[in-house]
Amino acid sequence: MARSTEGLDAAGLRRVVRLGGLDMPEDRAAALLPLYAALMSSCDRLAAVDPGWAGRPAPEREKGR
Amino acid sequence: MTDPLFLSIGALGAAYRSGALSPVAVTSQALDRIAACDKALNAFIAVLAERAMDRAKAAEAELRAGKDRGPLHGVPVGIKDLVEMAGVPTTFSSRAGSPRQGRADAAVIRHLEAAGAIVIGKTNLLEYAYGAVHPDFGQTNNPWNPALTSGGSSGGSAAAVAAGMCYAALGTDTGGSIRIPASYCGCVGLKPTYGLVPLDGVQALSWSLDHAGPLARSCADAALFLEGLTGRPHPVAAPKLQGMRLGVMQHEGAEKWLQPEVVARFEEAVKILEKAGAGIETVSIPDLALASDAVLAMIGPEASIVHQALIAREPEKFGPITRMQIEAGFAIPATAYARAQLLQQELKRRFAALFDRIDAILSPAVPWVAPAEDPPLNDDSGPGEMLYSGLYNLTGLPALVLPMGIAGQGLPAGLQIVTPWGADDLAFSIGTVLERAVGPLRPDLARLSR
Repeated sequence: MARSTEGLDAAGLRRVVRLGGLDMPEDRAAALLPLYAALMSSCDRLAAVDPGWAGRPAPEREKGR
Repeated sequence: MTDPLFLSIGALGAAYRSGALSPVAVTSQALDRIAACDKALNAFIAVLAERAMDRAKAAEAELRAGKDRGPLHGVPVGIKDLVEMAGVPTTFSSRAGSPRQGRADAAVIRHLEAAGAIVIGKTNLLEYAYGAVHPDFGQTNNPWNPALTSGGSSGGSAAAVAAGMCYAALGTDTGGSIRIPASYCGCVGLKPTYGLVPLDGVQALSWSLDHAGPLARSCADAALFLEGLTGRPHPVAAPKLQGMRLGVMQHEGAEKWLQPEVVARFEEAVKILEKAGAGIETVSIPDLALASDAVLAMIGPEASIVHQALIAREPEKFGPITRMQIEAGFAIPATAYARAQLLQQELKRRFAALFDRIDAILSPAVPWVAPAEDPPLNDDSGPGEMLYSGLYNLTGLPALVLPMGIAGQGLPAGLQIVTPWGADDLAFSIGTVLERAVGPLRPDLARLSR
């Protein structure tokens, strides 16, 4: 599986963080790259989630608790 | 003579009502225990000595006058320092937005104090319950070995209970933060059914996954404290395992992290429950290995939104790791968050189907005994620590952890019992069977007060 952060640099991460709603200097984004790459590994694995699960009803037992 | 600070809540209440002990004397002893041991443990951020003694005097007067508020009346308890109390500062173990003076009592405080519980202090935690120690507040050390961590994020509550500084304490749990410290410190911790314990006045971390619940030294005590938190009765039925079906959950890749002595204690615990009449079978759920990934994909953006104003205003006041986690959460893709939600719904359906044929699920609480420090989320051991816990935040199922014995290096390890939504009391009933077989575990306090 290709890592989605491959080739991502500090300037790129800064732009992505900004899109999420937080402004930060580029040197701060550079410090964030290793942690972000680790978190994105989790996100990448979630690509295995089957889109066919969408729209199915919640289990009755949980609704009725 | 039995140390009064290690009595069960039931026995303490009986001693109060017979006049053998008094709330004033017991609260005073608890404060002395904190003074003697907390230098080694760092379990409390604030000790509310004067307030607690005032409440103890009031409880004593009420009991003498025949005004009995129930089992928690006059019982010293701890509160994780992210819960609002009127007139009391909350630190969240952070310098960011801290301390915040409480303007009103959280619902759990209102319920506990109406039941007569005495809040003896605010307990230490990982910064904003988000996976890292703030350097100014420091780690809560483990009562079994103060060179090790008590776990996070409710480590202060677990250590305080295990060391007999209070009889029960409030914790919160977003990925395992009640159950991991319970396992490391050898106490009982319940992450209740999602929504059972009210969270108004409790600092949010991730609204989809946040829970509050009890830490105590026995299932019966935890059930009484849960009653105090919810203001509703949670009777623990006499444990009868005959005819019950218990499933041992298989976790793909767990062997990478599992310590052999944890496996040995787990196998013994399962045998005890089987001998008591339960049928045991192995169970599995497809895609369970993705649950920790989903937890991280949900906590990240939700925590960043919760803290967006603070991180923009005073980022340097957060500890370095918490600050980075909050910043990184702004860049988690919406598709990852949505996939996590999709997995959450699917896992709920699969667990509901599983609970059509079994009564409860068993697993270790954590693959290992207490380490020196809490593992960071971004290294390999972070997901390992919440391997068994995070999925039940995702599904909202009640999950109880209790000691299953000493697993290595003289340290306790915990068993996790998971029951259907709303069947929190059943977990206590099953746990009581193991508890009777294992017996009470108590750390050596002498090494804490040297």
